[in-house]
Amino acid sequence: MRTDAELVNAVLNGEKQFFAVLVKRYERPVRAVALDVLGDYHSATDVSQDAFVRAYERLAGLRKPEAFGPWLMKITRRCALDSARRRPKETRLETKIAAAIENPDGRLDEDKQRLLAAVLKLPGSEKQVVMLRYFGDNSVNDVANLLGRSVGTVTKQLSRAHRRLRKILERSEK
Amino acid sequence: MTAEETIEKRLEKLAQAISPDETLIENVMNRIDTKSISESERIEKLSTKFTARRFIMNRFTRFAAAAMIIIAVICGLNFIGGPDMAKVAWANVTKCVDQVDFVHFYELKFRKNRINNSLEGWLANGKVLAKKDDGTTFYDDGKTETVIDRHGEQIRKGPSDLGNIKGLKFFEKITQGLMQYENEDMLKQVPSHVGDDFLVYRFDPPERMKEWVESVAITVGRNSLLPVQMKIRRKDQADAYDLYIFDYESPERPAEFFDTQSITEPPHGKGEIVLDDEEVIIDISDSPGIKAVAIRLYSKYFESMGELKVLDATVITAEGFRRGIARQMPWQSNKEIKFGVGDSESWPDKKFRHVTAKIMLRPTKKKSTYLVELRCRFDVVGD
Repeated sequence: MRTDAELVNAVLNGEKQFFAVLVKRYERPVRAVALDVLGDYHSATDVSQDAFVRAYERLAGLRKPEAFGPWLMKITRRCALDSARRRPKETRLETKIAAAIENPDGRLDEDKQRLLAAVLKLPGSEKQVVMLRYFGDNSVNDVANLLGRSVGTVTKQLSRAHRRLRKILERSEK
Repeated sequence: MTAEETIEKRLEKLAQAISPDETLIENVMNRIDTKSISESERIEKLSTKFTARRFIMNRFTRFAAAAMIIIAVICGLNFIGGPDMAKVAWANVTKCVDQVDFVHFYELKFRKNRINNSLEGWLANGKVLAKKDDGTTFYDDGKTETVIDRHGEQIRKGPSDLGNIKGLKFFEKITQGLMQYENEDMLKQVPSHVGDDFLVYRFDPPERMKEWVESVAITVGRNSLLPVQMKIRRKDQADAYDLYIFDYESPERPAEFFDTQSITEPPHGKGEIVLDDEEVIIDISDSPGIKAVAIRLYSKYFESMGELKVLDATVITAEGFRRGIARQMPWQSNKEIKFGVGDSESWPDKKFRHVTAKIMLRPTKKKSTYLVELRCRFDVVGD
């Protein structure tokens, strides 16, 4: 399994097809970030596409290729905020209300929204392992390989993230 | 979702809810494939440019570069540069600035060649946190700006100048609008000096700043095209300038670093008070040196303003003495007030005492009845 840094360098060297691997790896984390901002699945999917394309266009500006994941999340957040700004206020309100209700059409219920917001509040390194482990559907070993960290480090980061999430949720659920 | 469910389970369920989208990869790759050759070339050029930027921004070169500015300024050297860089318009800098999503910055206000006050701040993920040397902290999450004083108490909250509401970008806000990019003349401006490592752009102040700004000089990295220093020379005060330093290498801060640390502590005392009724004694806890505060709320006629409500607060010290009185108008509610408690001779150590208080007056459903909340601190001056 190639690391993010290897894939980024390959794309920068003209092997465009490797960008597809990055898209597959980060597809769900990216959509999660967009969903947190927009609260609406369809818009989040559109924004995810824009975010990947924008990341591709700016790939050469990425100073640390190993930091592709967090960098991509920032781009996504910015794309989502831009999109939210462009949308008419009524639509936003509508979506917010709809998103707050248990909704079978693909929108997140309140609990999941809260959990997602908590995940996005985690410090960078913990957020990245949580995203890759759960949303990227990777084993702890795979996450360690992808990030070039030891399994022990990833395990510790995950358990710290779990503890932190529990605390954030306890506070928000009070 | 039950409380017993583990975080792991909840995360798994959340991940399941965000199901993979099979079409995304295909759509993204199609869009990338249709990118024109010129854009690919641009990436290639950028790639070269940012390799150079990595070089210039490493720790040693950064210090060397900073030293070079100082030497150049002290010696009054003219930069000698190549012809190409001399044509780099300011618009190119703004494009690079738009890509910045993390910067650590300082604002230093020099008055009569001494630093009068300073501020240190960080921008990340569209959020800004800045700390002034007097302990005031500014939090701006792109929607709301919150200001907290050095005691951790919120002193202001209002719409943000950044992002969503007023639409200012970070550099536009920090430069007080100087770097608003719509000014065509500014965008076309080329550097006044081209050095081996830096370009210097000099600007006349925009119309709205002409009264107080004499000139603006922005130093940008020759390869990165990112501002490293900005100097606003002022004309409203003698020997005065504001200096901004931008550092892109400082380690990024975790998300919670930017969360507002507002007041969470309860008031030191609270009670109900009726307008034009008797004085109320409010017991104070957790504020050493103060036992209680006597509050009176009454109507008073002022020639210039007519009848107003006035609030008097008298401190009852831990020893049981009534000392000091503060008068507060209701429109000053929750504003910090400071008042002396006796004179220095009143105290065995001959040191003067004062109280810093915040008194919040909240209306209740009962007519002429208010809820008073007090936070107060007793300080020995000179300790």
